[in-house]
Amino acid sequence: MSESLFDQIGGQGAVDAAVDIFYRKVLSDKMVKGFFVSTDMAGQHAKQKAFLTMAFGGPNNYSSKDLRAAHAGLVKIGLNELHFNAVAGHLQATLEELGVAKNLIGEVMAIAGSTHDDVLGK
Amino acid sequence: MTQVYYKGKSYPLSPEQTVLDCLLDHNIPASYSCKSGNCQNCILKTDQKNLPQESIEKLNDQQIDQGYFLPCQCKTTQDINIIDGESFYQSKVIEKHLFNKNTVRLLLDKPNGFDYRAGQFINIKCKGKNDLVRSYSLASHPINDQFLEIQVGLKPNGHLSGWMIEKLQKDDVISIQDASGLCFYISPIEKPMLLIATGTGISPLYGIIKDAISKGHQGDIELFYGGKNISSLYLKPELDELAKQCSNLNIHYSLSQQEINEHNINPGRASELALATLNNIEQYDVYICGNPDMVRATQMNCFLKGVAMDNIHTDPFEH
Repeated sequence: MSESLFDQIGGQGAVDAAVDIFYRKVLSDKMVKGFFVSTDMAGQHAKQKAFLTMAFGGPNNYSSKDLRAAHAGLVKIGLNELHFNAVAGHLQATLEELGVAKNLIGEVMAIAGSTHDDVLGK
Repeated sequence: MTQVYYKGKSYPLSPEQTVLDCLLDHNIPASYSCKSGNCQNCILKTDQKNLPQESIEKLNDQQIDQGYFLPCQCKTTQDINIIDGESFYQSKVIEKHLFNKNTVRLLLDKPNGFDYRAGQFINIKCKGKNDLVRSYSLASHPINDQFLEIQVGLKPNGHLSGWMIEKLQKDDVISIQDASGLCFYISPIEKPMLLIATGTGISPLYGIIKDAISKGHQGDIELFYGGKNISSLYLKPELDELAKQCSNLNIHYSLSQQEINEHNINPGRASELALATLNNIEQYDVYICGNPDMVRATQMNCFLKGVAMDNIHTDPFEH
């Protein structure tokens, strides 16, 4: 029992396969796209890669403080529970679309869920 | 002891130390944020060829080609030279030619050792204009052309563009920096290419098309070039000539403010025509240059229609 979640899910390759699918879903969702649209699309894309790396249990040094700081501006303009759930839904849908095993999806969603309070500044 | 070279000085690098930590330990104000290879804030450029996989695996093909790497993920026992790109070369104007009253072609002396990829841009500093620095895309080819070529369009209130069109003369000397930019040809030879340009955005795409052809590109090359009226399409004669010689180059012209009845001239906007014409756009490598709003909107539309983000290369003319 030694393979990490990140290894099991497919590591960097899995992040690369997931990011465009996930990013397209959030950009096409009227409820949340406003939080993702940016004049620097490539930069936003890199942020989504970073998020997925973290959610897949990959190497990252994001602290609770970092997540709070990164989302504070969005919370100020109205980021709330509904948006968080919508984005989590898109993450799950992306993994299902890629045929990721149910137990691994569960682990990823647990990690994503654990960011709830930091992302929403609670 | 391994050395990191930066701005003319060298700093010792221990085997277990990342290049970023080495710079920070020596009080160099290197940018960084996550220190885990995700945010790309620390990105630097080097000419070293044997970079560890972790320091480049998240970068795209263009970035890797240009020697970019993430120093927070870089541990190495080979000397690393960090490239600055801040030095200026002197270059003389070889030729000046007006396409029309708003657009000028400038051919510049290529400095010794100056290398670039077709489609990149150079920063130009003009002594005659209080050392103003502006970026201009290269339309020339690094191997087939012995000079550097830029095509400058007059900008309303543009300080440098007006000066270049009216005052700059043959034999005048200007300062130029190393070429930079990630919008250059790197497509697999069989892959279809979609290029979209407005105004002088055609200039780097012209370089890129010539580069693709010279490398024997086999896939379709679909160019959508738009302007207000026929005189905005200043490069049409040269492009038509290129299309005659190259059977996989297909050009579609768009005019937003003039109606002309010719077989490959269409009403409307180039970007809209491109998205309406190609129904398997996700197969293409896409290159978009010109007006920043057009570039960003088209990038978004191509992405939403299925083109991978890493396959969309843009050069928004922000100046």
